[in-house]
Amino acid sequence: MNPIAAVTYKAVPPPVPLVDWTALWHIVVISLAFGCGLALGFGLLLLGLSRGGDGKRGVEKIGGYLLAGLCGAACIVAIGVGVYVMCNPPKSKPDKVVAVTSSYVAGIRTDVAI
Amino acid sequence: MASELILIVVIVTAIGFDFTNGFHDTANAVATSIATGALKPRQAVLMSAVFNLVGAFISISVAAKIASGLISATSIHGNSGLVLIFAALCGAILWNLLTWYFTLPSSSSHALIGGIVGAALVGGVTVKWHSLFSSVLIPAVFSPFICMGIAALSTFMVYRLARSIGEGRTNRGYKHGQIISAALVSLAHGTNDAQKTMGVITLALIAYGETHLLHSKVGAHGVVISTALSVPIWVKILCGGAIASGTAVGGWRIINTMGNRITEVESPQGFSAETASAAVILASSYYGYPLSTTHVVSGGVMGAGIGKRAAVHWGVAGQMATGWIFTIPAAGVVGAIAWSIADLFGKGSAVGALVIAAIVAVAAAGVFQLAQRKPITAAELDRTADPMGATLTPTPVAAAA
Repeated sequence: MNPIAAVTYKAVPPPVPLVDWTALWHIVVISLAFGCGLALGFGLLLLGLSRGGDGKRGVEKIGGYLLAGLCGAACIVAIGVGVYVMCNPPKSKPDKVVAVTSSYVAGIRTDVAI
Repeated sequence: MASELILIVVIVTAIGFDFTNGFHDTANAVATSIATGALKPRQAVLMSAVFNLVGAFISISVAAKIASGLISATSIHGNSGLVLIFAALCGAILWNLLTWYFTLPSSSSHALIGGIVGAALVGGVTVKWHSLFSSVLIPAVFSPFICMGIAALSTFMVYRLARSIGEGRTNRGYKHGQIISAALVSLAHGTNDAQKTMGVITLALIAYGETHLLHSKVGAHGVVISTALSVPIWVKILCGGAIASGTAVGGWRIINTMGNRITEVESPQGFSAETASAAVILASSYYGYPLSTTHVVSGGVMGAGIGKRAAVHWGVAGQMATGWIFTIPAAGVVGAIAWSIADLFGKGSAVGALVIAAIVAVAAAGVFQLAQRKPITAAELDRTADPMGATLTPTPVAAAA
């Protein structure tokens, strides 16, 4: 075979794994962060409101309402992110390699995924 | 003329499926909110219907997945293609009605997928098995357990925190939170489930000849790299309206199972279950795994029971899991039978499709009639006055049916 001549051929696509463990791990971590975070954040909001309402000293009241405000804001942001993800789903995954064009240039094979 | 007639039958059947999907899956979003008395049953289903409708218009990624992810969209054409889609819908509708009658929360999406696979197998259309396993079956196994774990941990933490707040305040506070979390799950459900029917109708339109709806990206040597769909706006409106109407009707039988019979739910548990479910559904959608909201929410409710160390009725959970295992094969068998019967009248025959439509209509009416013998009403589920008053006690699924 002339190494200089361009050769084009179909290649067998690389096997796609049945379970994408990396994606699964990411799903678990993100769900854990958002699921537990939102429930806990809402709980802290209630705790803050409770402390703010029951507090006898000004510091206690301010601290309670500050906690409630921060946690409320965090919950709203988390919900906003969720709604944003729903409204703007990611673009589809990169196309799988179904063919490879290879060329031999100066004796070095270069593969271009299509 | 025959093509037009079959197309109309397919579209009407698809809308019928979307309606059953709505009332079958309402429970996913609102069952725990109703069970804790956070919302009145009618208010809950109306709110869910509105968010389902909104969700239906958000994106069409799931529609594309259903239409081209399981079978090759280009291999479905002509009257025989339309009959195949119709047979798939029949399988899904009958399985949905049967599980509704037996008060079992099962996945409408899996019923539809099962119907498509069954009809495709006997109809000689290639099924993308790798896609079926990696995108449907494997996530179906993992997702309830992931959500169960997250909901259990979340519930455990919430109850630890509640010690500092007081039981009354905690319950009242989380009841307000449940309205938001139920709305979030309803929105997620709308984005997932309404679009499955959009995908099916678009597939039918492509089979009818509206090939401009299918955009194929072709690489070198004519290899199709990817396909994309355009869903007509009237299809979006029809599907969004159908699922919202079904949701508004309220599938009280399944809401009762999900909210009352898996475990006794309090508002912090309901909030934890719903937020965990919404998080898992959204994270999975982001990574391109369309999940069954039914499986995820059921796992979340069980996890909420575990997290509080409350009694989880594992018998009911086991019956549900059995239903899940049989969903795809059972809907597939019905889809295959429907296609075979229609095929007896000739390949792509309109008469065959009409005969199957009549059989499905009679069967659906029969199931509705049977369900009326022991109906479950919205009034029985209303706990806004007495949150802990169990008007419906946990009973085995078969006995309840």
